[in-house]
Amino acid sequence: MSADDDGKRHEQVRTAAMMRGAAEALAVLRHRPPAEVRQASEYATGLLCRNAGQSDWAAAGLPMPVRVPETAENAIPAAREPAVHLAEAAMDLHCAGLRPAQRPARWAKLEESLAGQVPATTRARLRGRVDTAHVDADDVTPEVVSSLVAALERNQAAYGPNAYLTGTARRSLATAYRRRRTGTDLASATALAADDTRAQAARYGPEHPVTLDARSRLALYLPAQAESAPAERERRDLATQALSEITTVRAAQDKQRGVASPDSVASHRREARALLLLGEVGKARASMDFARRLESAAREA
Amino acid sequence: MGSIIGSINHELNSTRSALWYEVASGTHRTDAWAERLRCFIGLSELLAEQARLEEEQPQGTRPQQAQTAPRALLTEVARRARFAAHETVYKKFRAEWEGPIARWAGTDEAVKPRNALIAEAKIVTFWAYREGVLQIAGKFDMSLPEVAEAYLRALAAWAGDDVPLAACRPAGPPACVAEDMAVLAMLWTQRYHHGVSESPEWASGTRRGAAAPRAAARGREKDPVTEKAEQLERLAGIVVTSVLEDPTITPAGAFDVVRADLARLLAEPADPLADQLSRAAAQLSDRILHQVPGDPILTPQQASRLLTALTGLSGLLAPVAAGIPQGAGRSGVAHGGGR
Repeated sequence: MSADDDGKRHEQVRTAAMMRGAAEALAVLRHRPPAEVRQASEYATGLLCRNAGQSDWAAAGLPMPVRVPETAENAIPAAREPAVHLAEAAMDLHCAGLRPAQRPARWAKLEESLAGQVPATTRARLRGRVDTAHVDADDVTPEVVSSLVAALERNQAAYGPNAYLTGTARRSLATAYRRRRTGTDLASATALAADDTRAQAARYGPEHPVTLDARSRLALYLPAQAESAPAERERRDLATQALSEITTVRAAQDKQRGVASPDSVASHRREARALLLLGEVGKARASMDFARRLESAAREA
Repeated sequence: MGSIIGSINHELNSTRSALWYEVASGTHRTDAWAERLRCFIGLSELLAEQARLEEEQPQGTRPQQAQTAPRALLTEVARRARFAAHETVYKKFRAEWEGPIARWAGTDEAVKPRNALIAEAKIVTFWAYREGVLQIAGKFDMSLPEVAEAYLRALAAWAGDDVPLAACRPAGPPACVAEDMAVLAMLWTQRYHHGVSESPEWASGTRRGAAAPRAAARGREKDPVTEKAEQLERLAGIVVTSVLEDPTITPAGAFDVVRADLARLLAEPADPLADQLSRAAAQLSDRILHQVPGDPILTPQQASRLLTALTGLSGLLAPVAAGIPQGAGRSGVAHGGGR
C-alpha cells in the first residue's frame, strides 16, 4: 500500500467518523422549532452530498439544500454505514415536519434506494423504520405486523431475548397490536409490554427511568385490555393490575421529575382511567381534576 | 442570556488533548502523523481479530478478557503498521519517545508504552466524532444540555463502531472525555454560580502538568466544578459500558440510560426549600387522592389553613414565574433556560 493510499484511507476513516458524530448531534435537534428542524434536515443532506459520494439523495426522498455542495475528494461510498446513519438522521428530521400519513412513503423511498447496496443488518434496520412509520400512521396492515413479528423473531434468535434490539422490536410490535386492536391483539400487546418491563427491570432496576417508561407503557395497555375484556372478573383483575402498576410508576415519577411534570400528569390521567374501570368514580374524578388543574397551571405559568 | 456555544467550542478546542491533537496532526508532521495513524489502525485490526477469535471459541472455554502481553502487542502493531523494525512502535510510545510527535501521555514513566498507545488510539479514533458534534453544535447554536447529549451520543457511536478498542483495558471512554466533561461542568457552573469561573486546572491545555481530578481532590473538599465534572464523566462511562454490555444498543438507547441523570446534572440548581415544598406537595396530593374512607388526612381546619397559605404563596409565585422583577433587595428570580 502506497503512502497516497494510506493517506486516502486515513481521510476516509476520519470523514466517516465525523459523519457519525454529526448524525448523532443532528438527531438532538429534532425537538427544535419546525423551521430549525427543516434547516437541520437540509444541512444533513448537504453533509451527505459532500462526504458520501455521488448518489441521488433527492430520489431517496431526502430534502436537498438550496446549494448542493461539491463532493469532497475523500468522500466515502454512499452505502457505507456512517452515510446510511446520516441519511437516517436527515430523514428523521425531515419526517418530523410531515404528517404521519406522509412518512411511510418517504422511509420506503430511502430503503429502496439503499437496500441493494447495504448489508442485511442495515437493510433490516431500514425496514424497521418503514414499519414503524406505518404503525405511527395507524396503518397496521397484516404485512406490517408480519414484518414486525419477523423482526422480533430474527433479533431474538440472533441477539437473545434481552438484547436492546430485541426490546425495540418487541415494543414496536406491541404498539402495532395496540393500534390494530383485533382478536387477541390487546392481550398480545400487554404480554409483550410485560416482557419488556421484566427485561428492563432486570437490567436497570425497577425505578430506573428506562424501566419506568416500560412500566408506563404496560400501564397504558392494561386498561385498554381491561376495557375490552368480555368477563367482569377479568376486567376487574386487569384494572387492579393496571392501577397498582400506574400508582407505583406515578409515585416514582413524582419523586424523580416532580408532581407537575408532563409524565406525572399523564400518569394521573391513566390512574383515573383504571379507577373508573374499578368503579371508583369519586377517586377517578379527583385524579382527573387534579391532572387538569396541573395542566392548566402549567399552561398559565 | 446570549449564545453559549462560542464559549463551549472555544473551551473544548483549548483542552490539553485538543492542543496536543492540533500540534501532533499539524501538516508539517504529516508523515509522522500518518505513521501514527497506521499504528492505531493496526491496533484496531489486531483487537478486532482477537475479539473474533474469542467469539469463535465455545462458550465456557473463552478466556476472560484475554490480552496480548504489552511487548507482543506493540510488536504485532508494528508488523501490521508495516514498520521494518519491530521496536518502532515501542520507541514512539515510551516515556522518552523518538520522533517529532510527543506522546499524549507525556513523559511520565509510570505510563507504559502499551497504555500510552491504547490511550492515544482511543483519543485519536474518537476525535473526528467529536469534531462532527462541534460542527453541528456551532452551526445550530446548541445549548449546553444539547451539546452534552450530542457528545454522549457520539461517544456511544464511537464505542459501538469499535467495541474491541473501547473494551481494551482500561475499558471505557477516551481520556479526553474527562477534560471535555470538565469544560461542560465549568461552563455550567459559570452560568449558575456566578463567581466560580475558573476551569479546573487539569482540564485546561494552558496549564499542562496539573494533577488529574481525583488526585488533585484527594485530601481536601472538592470544588463544585470538579464534582460536577466527575459526575458527568461517570455518565460518559455508563454510556460506554452500556454499549460494551450490549453491542446491539443504539447511541440513542445508550444515551437514554443516562438521560434523566444528565438532565438533573445540567438543570438549573433547585432552591432546597422549593424542592422540599414540591416533594411535600406531591406526597400530600398523593395521600388525599388515595385516601382510605374513614381515615382523614387533614381536618377541615388544617385544610383551610393550608389552602390560605398556598393561595398566598401562589400570589407571590405568579410574578416570579412570569419573570417580573421583584422589589429592591429581593433577588428571587433565577435566570436560565435560553441558549
